[in-house]
Amino acid sequence: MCVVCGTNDETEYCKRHQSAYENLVKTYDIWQRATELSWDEYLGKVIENEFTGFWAMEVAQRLKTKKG
Amino acid sequence: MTYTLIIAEKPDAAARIAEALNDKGRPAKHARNGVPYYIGSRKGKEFVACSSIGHLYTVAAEDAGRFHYPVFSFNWVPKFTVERNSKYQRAWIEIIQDLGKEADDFINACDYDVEGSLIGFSILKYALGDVTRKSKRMKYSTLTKDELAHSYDNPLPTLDFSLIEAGKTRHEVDWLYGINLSRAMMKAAYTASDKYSALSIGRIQGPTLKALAEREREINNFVPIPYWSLKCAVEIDGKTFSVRYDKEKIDTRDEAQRIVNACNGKEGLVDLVEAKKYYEKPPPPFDVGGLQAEAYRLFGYFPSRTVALAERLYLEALISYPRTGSQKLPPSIGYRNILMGLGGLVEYSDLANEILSGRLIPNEGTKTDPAHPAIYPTGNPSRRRLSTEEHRLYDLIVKRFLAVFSTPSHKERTRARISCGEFIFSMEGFRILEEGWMRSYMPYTSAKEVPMPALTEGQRIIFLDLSAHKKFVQPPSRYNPSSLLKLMEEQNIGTKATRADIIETLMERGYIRDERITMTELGFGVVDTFEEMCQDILSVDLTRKLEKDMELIEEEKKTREEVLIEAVSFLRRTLATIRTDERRIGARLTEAKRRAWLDKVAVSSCPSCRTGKLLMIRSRSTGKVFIGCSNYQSGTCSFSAPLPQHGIIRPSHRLCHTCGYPTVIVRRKKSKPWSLCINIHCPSKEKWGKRQ
Repeated sequence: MCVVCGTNDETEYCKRHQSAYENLVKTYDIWQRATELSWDEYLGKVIENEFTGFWAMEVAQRLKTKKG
Repeated sequence: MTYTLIIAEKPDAAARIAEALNDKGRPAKHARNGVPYYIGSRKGKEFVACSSIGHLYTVAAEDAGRFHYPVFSFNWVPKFTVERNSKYQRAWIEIIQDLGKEADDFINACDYDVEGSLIGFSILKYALGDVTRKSKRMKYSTLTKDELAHSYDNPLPTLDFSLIEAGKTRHEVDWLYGINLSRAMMKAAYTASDKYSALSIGRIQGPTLKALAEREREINNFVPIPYWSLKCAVEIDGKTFSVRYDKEKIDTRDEAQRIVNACNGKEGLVDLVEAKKYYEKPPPPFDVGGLQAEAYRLFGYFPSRTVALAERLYLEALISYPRTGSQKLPPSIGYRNILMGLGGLVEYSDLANEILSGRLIPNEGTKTDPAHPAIYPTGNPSRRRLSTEEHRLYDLIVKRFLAVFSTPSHKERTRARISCGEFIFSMEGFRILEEGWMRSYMPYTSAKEVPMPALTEGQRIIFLDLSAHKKFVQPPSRYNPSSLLKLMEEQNIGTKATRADIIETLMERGYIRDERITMTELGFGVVDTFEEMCQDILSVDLTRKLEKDMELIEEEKKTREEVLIEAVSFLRRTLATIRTDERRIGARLTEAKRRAWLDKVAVSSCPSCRTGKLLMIRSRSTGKVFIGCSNYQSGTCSFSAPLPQHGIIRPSHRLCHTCGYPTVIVRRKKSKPWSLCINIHCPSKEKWGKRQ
């Protein structure tokens, strides 16, 4: 079951949240090169950003809460 | 006494045609049961001009039943017998049948395109006892007196049967796809939920939805990437100018800072100054897509509204036929007469007379349409006062027409390269040397001049104020009706006549919403289902192939029967797949409907109990809308919050920057949408209602 939206899937994330998760991971490398942020700080910045897509935001919020 | 029966597409067109053809003044207007027709005479022979009112005949299944599929047997029947809101059409058919009894000649005078040919054909065949073989066809692009008279006196000797065949096939194939796939979807949803749902998909809806879903996924998955840009001012002769760093986006903060440290307050060297003069041709004349895009850009008109307004101007004989795909203006339209006509209108007299004094060569575009030229004004004065919207569109069409005949504009771009150590900056200037066509197209075009000081190579200038600014790469923009229409045109989805209606249908079905088009959960549900089960329905290849087939039918290289057999065999395979997996598909569609509902009413998780969902609820006792927790029923949470009672309220899926509570978007007429925090004690609201 998707940990974000509860969709019946056998994986941790459903298809749409999986691709949002992959995008978050991929983009972290670019952020790190640009500003040297920790993963947690990065998630915070992504959540605050007005341009973040809704699914990416949901995954980022979930990852941040999980860590907290 | 016998007469010629003329069949026009709309009542206004019938009136225009009758007036243009009648030898002596206005023809006699008659009406029965609210259906008008006109009696007149031309060159000693009487004529009766009547009209259709859109399509009077349509494709319908031979047998009824809401969920029954597959359905491959169909007939052409009067529309009023199968569509509840077309009952009024019965009177039109009865009167046309009556008028046909004493006619000995028949002319289809509907608009000259596939739909017009088919409308006239179905009346001549089904209402008038199949007189199609002895009927003639009028061909015209404007409803002006001269063109109508010429077209009546020199009609095409037969109906345009190949065009009609293509039109019939398109209707039949679209009907086959639409009814079978939509019924299969509705049946699946009914099987899974025991509830009736209005769902539909078709040959054109499918690929359009898919393109929208792809864009929506990109936007929803988007993670912004930071970059830095430099802002820099220089002083030359006591005036401040801005210069641009060579690279628009700098990837890292350190790199941006390094440039600022290296150049700020330092001297730069102008090592290159170049000026480029060039001519810019006028824009091409409008085809329907171009007009829709421009009317949306300038006035915010939806494409369907633009076509409806243009249609009214056409029926007033003010412009030529608007549903054209052409960007060509052949000399046969009579440039000089049109410009002289426009010269007689106060608003356009100066420009029109100026153009008349030069050589009349239009700047045409590349698109062609065998049936009609590009959209152009007729030059006729209007007989009535145009509404503001009509006038705006008319003015746009006239000015584009005048621009097309105007001289190119002459412009100059200047660029200076300034180096500061290893870093390169540039300064750009822009001047309009001669306005040319831009003057004819005012106020619909503008180009801002950017002044540039006189610089010489080797000159030194000081970077006064250089700073780095953090920015973010933005997600791709949403489609709007105009850009979606352009995409459909580029990908050859649908026809120029149907594209605007498809967008409206997708809105009506609840698959998409808002002017900046947003895909709903229901739209995603439909796309996801078909992506898994039958990708062909969503593929542009399928619809492109059919468009190609239509062309082949028009060229008599393929038959209607062949195309129908191909469609049926494709549908048989697809429907069999859907049927075997009916329950699973139904469950997915039902889940999509549930999500769509939640998307409309669920604001976020409850900040009080953290397990429930905050929903927008309408009170049964007071009728007021408020926010309540889904755990209220079980008695574990009583969180609630008031909402504004006017306007449309939607969850924003964003949290308040001040207090972290969820927010909603409130939309009201004549005001911009605004974000509202649902927390009544939010510190951001402390100043509300207090005088400064």
